[in-house]
Amino acid sequence: MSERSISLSIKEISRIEGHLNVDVVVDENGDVKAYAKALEGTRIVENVLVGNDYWEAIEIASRMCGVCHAIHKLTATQAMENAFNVIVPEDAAMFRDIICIAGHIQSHLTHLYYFALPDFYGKNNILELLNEKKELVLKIIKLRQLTVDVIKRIGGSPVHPITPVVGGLSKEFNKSDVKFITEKFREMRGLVMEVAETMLGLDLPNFSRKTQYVALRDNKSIPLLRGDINLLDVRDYSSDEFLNAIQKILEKYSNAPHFLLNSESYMVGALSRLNINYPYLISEAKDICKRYNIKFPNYNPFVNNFAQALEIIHYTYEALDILENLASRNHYKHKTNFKVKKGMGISASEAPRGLLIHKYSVDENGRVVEANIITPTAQNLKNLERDCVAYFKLISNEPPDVIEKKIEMLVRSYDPCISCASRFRKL
Amino acid sequence: MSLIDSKPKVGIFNLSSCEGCIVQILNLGDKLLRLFELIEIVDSRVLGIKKDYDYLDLAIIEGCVMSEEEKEKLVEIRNRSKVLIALGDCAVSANKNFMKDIVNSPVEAKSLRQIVKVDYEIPGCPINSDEFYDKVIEIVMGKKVIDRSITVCSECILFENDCLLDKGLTCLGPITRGGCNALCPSNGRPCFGCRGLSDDANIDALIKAFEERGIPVPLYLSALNLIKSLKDNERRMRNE
Repeated sequence: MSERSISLSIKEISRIEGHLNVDVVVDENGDVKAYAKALEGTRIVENVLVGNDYWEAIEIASRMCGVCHAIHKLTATQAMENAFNVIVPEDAAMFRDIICIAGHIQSHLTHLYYFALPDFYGKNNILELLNEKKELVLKIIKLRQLTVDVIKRIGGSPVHPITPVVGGLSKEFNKSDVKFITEKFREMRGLVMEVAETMLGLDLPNFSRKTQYVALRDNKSIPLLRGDINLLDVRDYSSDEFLNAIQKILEKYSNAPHFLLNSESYMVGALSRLNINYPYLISEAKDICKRYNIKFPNYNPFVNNFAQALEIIHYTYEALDILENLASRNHYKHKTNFKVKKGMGISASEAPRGLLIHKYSVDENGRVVEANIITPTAQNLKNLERDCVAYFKLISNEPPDVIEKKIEMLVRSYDPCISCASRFRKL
Repeated sequence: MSLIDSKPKVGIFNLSSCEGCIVQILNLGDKLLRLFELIEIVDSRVLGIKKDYDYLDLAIIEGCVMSEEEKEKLVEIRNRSKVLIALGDCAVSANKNFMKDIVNSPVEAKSLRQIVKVDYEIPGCPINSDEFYDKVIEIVMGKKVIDRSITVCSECILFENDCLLDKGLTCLGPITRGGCNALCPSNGRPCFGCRGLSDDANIDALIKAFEERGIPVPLYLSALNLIKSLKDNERRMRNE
């Protein structure tokens, strides 16, 4: 191995979910390489899933991550429903959409404002921001609290929601629940514009690198729980086709796997969702894009922050549409009966951080015999490394501490979730 | 001991976990700001706080120990902390509820108590935010910290929920430590014991109750598996 100097080594990047180190290395020939090293103790959830009852496996899947728990639970549940050929009642599916949306917005708020925003004001954390931007911070906390209230009411618990079960929901809901949730989302609607615009008004680093963008698509919305997997400007995949098209790479330095699609890195997440589904962004959010001159498709990974802010607006309005639909119905069918049977089930969804796939095989008693979970952060790691290399080259003349800060910001823009990503390694 | 003479220095750490219990701390919302008036967070990677300190008045640790590095980190934190709280089921019992059945695994998840002295525990998967808030204030004020030792079942009865055992479901509420407001049974799902066994857990009586209600074998066996892992958890919690 040729002698190499570590030009930059960032340990345990703060304000992300989980433990991640990033090294940028320049060798004697001037070649730059980046290494995204997921350090979270290997949590081997997939191994643990095998042998458990289907319902228990869903609970364990939810425990992969305390930030994206709602989408893991919903995706695992959908995959099991797929295995048992269960069609969930429409009402129950709508309530589950609301849980999904509230979880999505909550995760974005945590990332954008608790984790990313302090960077832009030269602060280390949101508490330091409290002194000079008290009103804004209180609004952000309020907004986040509203999403907690929503998940508490229809999910049962704000972390690891209880009610989503195979066949629908474990609890019957009524009009007063819908009224309660609607009030919460209306209150959110009153706050989201201002809060989102705080983010959208920021100056992002000028950096652009076109890559492959992948997200769900249904040609009518920006789907979270249903749809085909689309590679921007290229093609649609079914979940199975996509699993066959991607390559898993086990890098010695990382406790999380890396992935390639067509032998190239690719990006999933809010930026990919909007790059693919921008036509279906609600008009209120599109107006803001015009005002701030934000264009999609966009190849600047920092714009992932903007895309998340736009999604906060979009999904708040979408939730209100769903709730209006629910309010027009008199009662809600919460569950359908089903028989456990041997089979294989797969579900692809959009976690806050991007495309998520759960696939399970179960035996005739409903025990899991095989499990495969592809998380968004693991899919993003290779692309993150390549962005780090390109961005490093762009800013390599700046002082070392500035470079470190900027690379950290780039990593944070991806909103990595290392808890999710590093639960794979086969023992 | 009272820590209130000056603002106690607090660190929030996590080992191997989903970080959901730390999210439950964030879920306190503006109550969290009130808490921050009483304590000073000096170390928290999630919050992006890293101040210089020689010792901690209070260390709050989420997650279980799954590597040598984590073990060293835990011992190091313990050595510089006056009081240590194990936060959530992973820290309290290594969460074997959800981490069981790892056959021939070279990695064994360990609870904090298997490595260091733990002063207080906040159980649950996830923790109950209000219980966290109350206990931290009790600790900081030097009050006696009272465990909410009643069972999930007794809380459930107070809510006048329909009994899930009577519906033929294997609810572990009668043998599980309370304090969660009987969240799962209140939402139509049997308790699976995420808060650990209650002090007076009578497992035999619960199994008899399953039999009396003619609960079907597959459900019954799954419940026995869960109970077995709860007993294992209990041993880890006591470091036996």
